[in-house]
Amino acid sequence: MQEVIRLEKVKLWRRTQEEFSYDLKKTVLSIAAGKYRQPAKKLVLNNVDLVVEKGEKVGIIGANGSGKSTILKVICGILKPSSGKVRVRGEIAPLIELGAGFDPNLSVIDNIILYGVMLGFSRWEMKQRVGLILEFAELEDYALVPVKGLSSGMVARLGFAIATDVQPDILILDEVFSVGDERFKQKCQYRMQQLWDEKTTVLLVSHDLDYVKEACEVLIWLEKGEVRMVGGTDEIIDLYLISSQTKKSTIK
Amino acid sequence: MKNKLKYPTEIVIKPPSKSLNLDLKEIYRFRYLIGNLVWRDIRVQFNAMYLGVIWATVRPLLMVTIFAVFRNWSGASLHVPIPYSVYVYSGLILWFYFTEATTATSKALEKNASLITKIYFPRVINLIVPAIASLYGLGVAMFPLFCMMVWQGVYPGWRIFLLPFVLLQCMLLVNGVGTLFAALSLESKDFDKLLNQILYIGLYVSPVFFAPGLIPEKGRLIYFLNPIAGTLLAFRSVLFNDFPFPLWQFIYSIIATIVLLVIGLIIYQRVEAFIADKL
Repeated sequence: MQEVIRLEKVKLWRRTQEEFSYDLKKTVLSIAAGKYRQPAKKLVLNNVDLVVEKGEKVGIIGANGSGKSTILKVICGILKPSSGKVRVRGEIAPLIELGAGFDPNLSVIDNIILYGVMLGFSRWEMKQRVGLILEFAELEDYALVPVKGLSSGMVARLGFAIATDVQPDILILDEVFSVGDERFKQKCQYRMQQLWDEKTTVLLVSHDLDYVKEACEVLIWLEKGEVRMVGGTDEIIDLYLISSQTKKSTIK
Repeated sequence: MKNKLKYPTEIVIKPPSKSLNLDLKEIYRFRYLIGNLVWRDIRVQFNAMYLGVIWATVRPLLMVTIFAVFRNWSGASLHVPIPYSVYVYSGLILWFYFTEATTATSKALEKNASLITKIYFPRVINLIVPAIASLYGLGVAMFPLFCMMVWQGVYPGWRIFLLPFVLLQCMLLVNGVGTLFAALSLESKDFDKLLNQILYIGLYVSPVFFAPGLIPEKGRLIYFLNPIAGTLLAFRSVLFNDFPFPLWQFIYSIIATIVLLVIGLIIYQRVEAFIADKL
């Protein structure tokens, strides 16, 4: 087996939003008064080691704020680790948030092309694929409408259609299974199934444990920015449920 | 899908480096993205306005008229050795290119926040695009200039071949100043205002509607500390044969551009690590 993703001792500090000194006057005064503090930082990933092999379907679970989405962003290159190293082999199609990166003022067709170029295709190649993408998203009638004129469901459908159409080596999914109406959902699931059967490596974050159980072979359990456990799906889910149950009882 | 354009097969993501380090290879790899973002900017700007082409020319034309009228009424000598309208118009269009592109660069990170926080691409690209996209408006505004030149009988000489070089220097100056303020305005919004003020005052202190001959000999050295002064004069010189080339001033402009670019990039790299947290 060939490894496609490797994280070595990845640490990530993030600056917390409320501490930003947007006010220059305050900053200058606090420096003058000798009270200047560095903006507060928070350790969101702590010494994460991880290896994903080609074709593996990996699920990431954990409580809110445990660093699940962050880890995906580090793998995509959106966030750079503060220390440590990330190696990625192959093309990534990130679905961190469906429809992210669309320009609301451009038409649907122009957005499809722009998105494709961002994922590494030339304009010309994307023009060839526009038809298929529109067809899958069922937005043929909206081809020339600016994206701001679409409903949020349509935008999500468009995002899903593009990201899965480009057939990436690595697909990254962050809670994206509530797209559109029932019928479209089935269509999505069918397409996901196709990706599943191929050699695509999939990383997904979900709170839907039933879906994770069905879709993934390997699970990573994150807790407070650290890898708590890695292992087979059933085993990890059982332990995870027991752990959250005990937490629940302490709440009561 | 076949003949798919591949981005590198292996990417190593490392902590951001502290020293100045501009990955030109990486930028070249994403050249299609640069082209597409430029195309998007132009399209959004000129499609949203039916009269986009007119707006690009009407402002400098009106200002030329106003300046020319005042000059005639007051009889002031502004030390311009060539027909006044051509001199002012050419200065204004380059000046407006500079201000528009610099402002756009300084706001580019926020404008593209939805891309930056969701998809990976070299972020520096955001800061390169406005200087290229704004060239379109400059090009449009050149047409009335050609008409005026023919009308006034002012023609370029061999120096016209230096035009791309002067424009490149202007673009790099835009990149330098824009990058600096893009980075600073992530820290504090006050820097947006500061840039606005500088650009607003700059129109009146740069050689746009008067020639530096107006400035007393003693003051000229200080006057040419303004890095765009040399650019504005060189731009006239490549377009109009009778206008002398400001050799030393232009050399200074090039040096100042390089210094500003380096400073801008260094400061930008310091905030880059936290961009996704701040947007």
